[in-house]
Amino acid sequence: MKRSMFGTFIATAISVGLAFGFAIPKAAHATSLYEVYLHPAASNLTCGWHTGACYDDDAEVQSGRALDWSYGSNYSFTVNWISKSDNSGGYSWAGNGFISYYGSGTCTHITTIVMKDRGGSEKNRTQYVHTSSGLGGTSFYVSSGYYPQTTTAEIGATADESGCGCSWSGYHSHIESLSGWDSKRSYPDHTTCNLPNIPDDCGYYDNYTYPMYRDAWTY
Amino acid sequence: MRRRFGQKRRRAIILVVSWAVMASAIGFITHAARSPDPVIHAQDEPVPPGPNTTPEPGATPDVTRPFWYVPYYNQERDSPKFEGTIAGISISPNPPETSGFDACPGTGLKELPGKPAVEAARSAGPLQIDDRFLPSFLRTEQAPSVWTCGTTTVEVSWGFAVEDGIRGVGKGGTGVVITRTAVGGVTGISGSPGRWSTEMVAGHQAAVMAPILAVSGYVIGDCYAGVKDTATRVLTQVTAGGTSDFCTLILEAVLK
Repeated sequence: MKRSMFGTFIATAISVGLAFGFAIPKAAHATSLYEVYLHPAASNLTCGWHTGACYDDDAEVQSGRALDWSYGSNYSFTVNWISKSDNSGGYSWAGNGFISYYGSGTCTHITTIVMKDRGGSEKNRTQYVHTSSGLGGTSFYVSSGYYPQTTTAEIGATADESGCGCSWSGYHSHIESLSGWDSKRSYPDHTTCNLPNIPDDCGYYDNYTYPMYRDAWTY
Repeated sequence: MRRRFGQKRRRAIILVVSWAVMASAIGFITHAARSPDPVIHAQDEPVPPGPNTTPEPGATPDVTRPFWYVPYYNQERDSPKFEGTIAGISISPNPPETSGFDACPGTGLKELPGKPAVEAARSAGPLQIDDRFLPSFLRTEQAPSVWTCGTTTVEVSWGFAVEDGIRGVGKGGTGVVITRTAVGGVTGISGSPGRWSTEMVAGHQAAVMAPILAVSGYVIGDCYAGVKDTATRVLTQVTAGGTSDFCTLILEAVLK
């Protein structure tokens, strides 16, 4: 092969290769990072991180992924899903929260929120125990943005579960990560926050300031 | 002459093939090295479906569109819900409010704390949920909720997480809740009549609810499977973000 022909041969191969390499679309789908922080539903913390019932016995109560929240009164209160979310793409919505209510038990009125991302994948599942709801089957959008956006969505109300061995904290919502949330935040453990005996670390927390859990994903 | 022609043809073929290989390699490397195409700018973001948007009749779900699933939730929300008895289980979307006094009149229930709760859930009996014998893909970080009336266990409920990629589970994974109760009254669960059916699970008639939709690996809405043992009256129930087969698989593992 003559030298000029060889050069043409190489040049056309490079040109065609580059042309295809640039022309074929490359999906930009999974380029936005979403963060969602779940905040408490009320402002009075009555039991630090725990699993199972919150008893004043550290040997029996394990550190878990649930916190108990109330308004410290003898009245039922509205329970809201409160979240803050941001994303790198500046999109207005992180996903959708779907409300389910399971009332099959005797002391386990459970309102569950299943959060799906924009594409329909389940991201996290949260149980609000001792919380009844007439909103089962409805859903709400979880706001997001380049700067954190807050979502406050009514999901139910605290149930009267007197007689259920948890009467010391009255009407309260036991908020528990069932799946998906990847970390718990800096609230006290049950060893120092466990009513009625050790209220030092329990008490008031601004429920729009300190989140309980964080979740993050790309879409 | 003929031999010379054959050599020429062979050389031409080698040239064409090596040209194609070179062009393909350069194309592949270029494509791989490129940044992804720019995303749709946030201000061009389409408005998600409103609360009254329902699916077009007969349309195939386009799972590539953001919030494609919301109309299916809306449709289910607006549908009448099943209320009645399936496989001996009373089902209602609006169950009567119950409290501890209903299960344990006069004395009130007690919920066990973490470690004793795990021991009680695992112990043999009609309300046993032994996590050590359930499918290994069920993962938990929480103790079960165990309610007692005096020394008798009357309800056990345990939540688990399942990672993405398990057969019958929707994309992203899911949470699973298993509940066994000796005092089951009306089961509060909401689903349109078309989602309900009866199946045999571990030798028992079971009430089974399918999710709202399962398509292309996505599962919209929860499945449910429940059995009321005719001898012990114990009600065993499973809910999860999966297909009916997934819920019945877990139920079968609990009942065995």
